[in-house]
Amino acid sequence: MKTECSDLDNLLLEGDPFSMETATRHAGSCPECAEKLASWDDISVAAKSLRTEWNSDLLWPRIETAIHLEEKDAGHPRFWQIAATVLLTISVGATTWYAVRDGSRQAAFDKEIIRVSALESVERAEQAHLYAIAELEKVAEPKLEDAQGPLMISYREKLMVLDDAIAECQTNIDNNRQNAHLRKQLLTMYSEKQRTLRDVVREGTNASHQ
Amino acid sequence: MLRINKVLIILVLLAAPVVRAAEDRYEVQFGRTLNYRGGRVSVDHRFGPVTVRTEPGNNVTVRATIRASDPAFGQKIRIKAVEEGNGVSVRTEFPEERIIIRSGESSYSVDLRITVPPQATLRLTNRFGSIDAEGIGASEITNSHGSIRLRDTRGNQVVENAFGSVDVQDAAGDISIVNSNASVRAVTIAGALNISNRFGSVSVNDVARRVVVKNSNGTVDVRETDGPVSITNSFSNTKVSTIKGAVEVLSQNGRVEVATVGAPVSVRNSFGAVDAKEIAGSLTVNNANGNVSAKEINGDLIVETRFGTARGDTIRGAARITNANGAVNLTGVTKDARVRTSFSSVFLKEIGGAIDVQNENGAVSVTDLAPPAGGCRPIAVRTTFSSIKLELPAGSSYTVNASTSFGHIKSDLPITTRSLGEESVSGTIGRGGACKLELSNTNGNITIDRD
Repeated sequence: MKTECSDLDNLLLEGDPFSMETATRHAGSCPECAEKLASWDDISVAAKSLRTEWNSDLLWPRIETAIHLEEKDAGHPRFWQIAATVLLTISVGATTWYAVRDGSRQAAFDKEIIRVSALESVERAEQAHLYAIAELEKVAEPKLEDAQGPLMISYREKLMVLDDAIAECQTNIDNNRQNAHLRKQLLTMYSEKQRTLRDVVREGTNASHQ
Repeated sequence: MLRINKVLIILVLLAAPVVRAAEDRYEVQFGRTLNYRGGRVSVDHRFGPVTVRTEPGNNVTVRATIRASDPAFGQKIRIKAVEEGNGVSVRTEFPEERIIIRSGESSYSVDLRITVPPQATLRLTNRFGSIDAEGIGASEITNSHGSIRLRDTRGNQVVENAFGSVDVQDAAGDISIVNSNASVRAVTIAGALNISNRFGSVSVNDVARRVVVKNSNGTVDVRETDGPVSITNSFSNTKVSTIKGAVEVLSQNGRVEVATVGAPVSVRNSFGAVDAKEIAGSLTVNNANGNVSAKEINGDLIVETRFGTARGDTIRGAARITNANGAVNLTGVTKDARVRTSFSSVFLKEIGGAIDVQNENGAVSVTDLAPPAGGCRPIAVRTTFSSIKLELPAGSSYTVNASTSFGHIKSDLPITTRSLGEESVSGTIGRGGACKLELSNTNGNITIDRD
């Protein structure tokens, strides 16, 4: 590769051994560039002689102090944050525990004493039973009155026993409306009466077919 | 500061529903420990469940949760737990007066939990609440409108209930249960068991001694008992199986099933079928208006019925069937077969002993006879308005008297006749001898075939 005078500046800027050797080789055949290279060498020697180093007694201690101060400042907020978090956790935990315990207690309470709001649906169910019983009685009563067989006598007796039990439940419900057991028992009695009346209707029909 | 406010708001929000839910609700705990010096622990309770457990020692502990919709009412509910000369008494007392609150009458319930020493005798009464007892000694337990559950009891138990189920399991002593209108279940009873119920099912399993069940209008199911079993039931089905002792069933208007019994069985029924199998002793069935089926009976079979079919299969004894207006089918009877019926047919197969059949207006068929054990099998068959068909094994010897009117007599076996008419034959089959074959018919044929 042929080196031109215009390339000399770039070679000097590169500064690596190969570039410097190429520049020296070109300077051997070009007096103008040789002069320029000599000036470059002089400047380089002068720059190396100007280089110096010194130790600072204050810089590192100042950095160290600054770090300590920063750590110290940062330590106070962290303690308070931990304390606040612990307090919050305890508070939330206690409140949750209390809420859960109270919730189960309320559930146990609801199991024994029905809420006023739920009473309405219970009474609606009872009314539905009563309506069904009234309808069934219309069909069953003539069969019960006419029949003389032991089975119908037995059904009649059972219905009387159930009516007594229903009356007993109702008397107690008058004084203890929200008592869940009483309400459940009354519904059971109503269901049993319905089932018995249905049996009467069915048996009466079977008997009439025989 | 802003952060603290946020925390406070969260806490208040969390607590708010708890505070709100506690409105208008009264709940208080009661607790007392009493010294038990012998005698009886009496508990009288209403309106709430009772739980009884045992703990070694001499203390009776009473714990209760009193709940009311109105605090004023709830505060007046008292649990009176006291030591008395003859034991310990626990009683729940409710205010008699009605307290009106803004939403209506007050409502209340008391949950009672008691521990007693295992040796204590217990008398417990409840109404409108369940009873749950475990490990207790001898006791009398009465309830109405609530279930009774007993587990691991030690002494004799007398249990009475109405309108609530009774469930007893793992009892060491005798158990007596009276109930009405609800189910009874008794399992693993080491003593005797006596149950009386109405309008509810009865289920019994694994009883060591005698079982007596009286029920009506509810199914009865008794299984795996070592002692004798006696059941009275009506208007429902009765099932008995795997019983070592004798079984007696008195039923009306219900099906009776008896299986795998190690002793004699007696069944009286009406308007329901009787089905018995695998009976080690004799089987006696008195039925009316129902079928009777007996299979694998290791003793005599005695059946009286009307208007139903009587069937017997594999009877290792004699069979005596009295029927009216119903068919009789007997197969595999080891000893004698005696049958009386009318207006229906009789089929006898594989009979080992003497045969005596009297029918009216129904056919009689006797086939597949096994060789007689004693060398002679007397046969007497009489019917009217139908046919008699008899198959005799080759080599049979009989003195024959056969007669009919308005019919024919036909024999595949040679008869050496003494007298021969159009409607009667007298003579001998084979060697003749003392073994008699008496066949009598009116308005029907007589056929003797070779088997």
